[in-house]
Amino acid sequence: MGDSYEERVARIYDALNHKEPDVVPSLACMGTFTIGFNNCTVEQVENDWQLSVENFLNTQKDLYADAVYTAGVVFDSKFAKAIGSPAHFVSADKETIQHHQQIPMAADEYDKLIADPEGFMMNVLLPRTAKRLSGAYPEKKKAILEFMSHLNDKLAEWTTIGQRLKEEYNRPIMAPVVNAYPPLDFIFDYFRGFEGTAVDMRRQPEKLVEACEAVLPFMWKNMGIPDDATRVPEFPPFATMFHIPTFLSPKQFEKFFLPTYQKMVDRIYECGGKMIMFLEGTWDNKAEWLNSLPKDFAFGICEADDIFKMKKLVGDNICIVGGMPLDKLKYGTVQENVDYAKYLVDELAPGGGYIFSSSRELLTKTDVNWENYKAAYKTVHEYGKK
Amino acid sequence: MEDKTVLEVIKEIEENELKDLPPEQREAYIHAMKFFMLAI
Repeated sequence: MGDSYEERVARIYDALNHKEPDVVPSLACMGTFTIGFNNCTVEQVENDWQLSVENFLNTQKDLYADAVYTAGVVFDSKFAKAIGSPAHFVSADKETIQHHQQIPMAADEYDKLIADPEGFMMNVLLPRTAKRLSGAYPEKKKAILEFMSHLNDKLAEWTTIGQRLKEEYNRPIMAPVVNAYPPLDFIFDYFRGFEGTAVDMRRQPEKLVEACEAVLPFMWKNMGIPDDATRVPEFPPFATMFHIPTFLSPKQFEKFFLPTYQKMVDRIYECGGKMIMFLEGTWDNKAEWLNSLPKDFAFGICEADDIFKMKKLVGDNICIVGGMPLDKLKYGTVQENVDYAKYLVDELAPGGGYIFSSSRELLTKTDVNWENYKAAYKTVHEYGKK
Repeated sequence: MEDKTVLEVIKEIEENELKDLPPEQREAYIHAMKFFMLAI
């Protein structure tokens, strides 16, 4: 097997199917890193999507990787500015973007959300966060058209990155869109926040469960699977980036998270789709659920978990992704990184079910020593041959 | 001037600025826009 686009996708799916691939596959996870790497600012790339494309591709030039995780920055500050939202803003370093939690929904408003989810979210909750949408009609339309204009630029950027990665680097994007967004995460992320959701789970659990069901049709549409569809492509996999599960006990996960999310997972599975799940935080206490997924159905990107423990716990059922510690990539020597990359291959790759990656997405140019990063990925490609 | 809700304004955009898009594409685009607005 060589390094064509199709061969790389096949290599990655061999790993998913727990067949030992010809080479251990590798995945590069880069977010705002591409901005600082190119000595640019967020403001520059937000106003020039073609520069953002070049920045992204520039990180790929000297790097061996079989695939990239996403097409770069998704939620940026220009989106937020267009509608007057303080939720995303540029950091003091001018190279990264931060999220400021907004809690536009009060604890006693669940009945309104349940009665008319889309109307309440768009017409009531959204203008509470996005101040330009709370004004009079002409201003509101102007704000939405500005938002739309930036969305069009971002769509052009992501599409171009995907095309050029394929044409110039034979490199697929594993999660070109986040299309399996869990309803509880949506309520947690954008309406009730950390404290609100935690309190709601105790004081009004049934309302929260009902609200997740009410929001589900909106999230269902995100999957883009027509109601009459019986098949979807295996590639790219449907993507979820989990947020609240790491804070939930297994009982809370079962009561609040799964009833709606499992329906989405089941629909993807019945259509022959696959999933890539970013297991944010730690997931060892949810191993039972990961093992209940259909075999060879999901990639699980491990973030803070002990990857060796996760391989033992769930590695026969899902394909484990990750393992290369960011602190070693930043502070270690090239040789230490080469040695550790070999160790990961020796310990995790036999029998398939493993894809090499950094333990976290790269956000700033100082997150890693680039020489270490390149050396680790190159090592996996050379040492990881069958 | 008559005020409009966010959804009414989006409907207006759908029927005017996006009228030339094929219906399926238009529906997917509008949904993506709503999702992104909420997620920002």
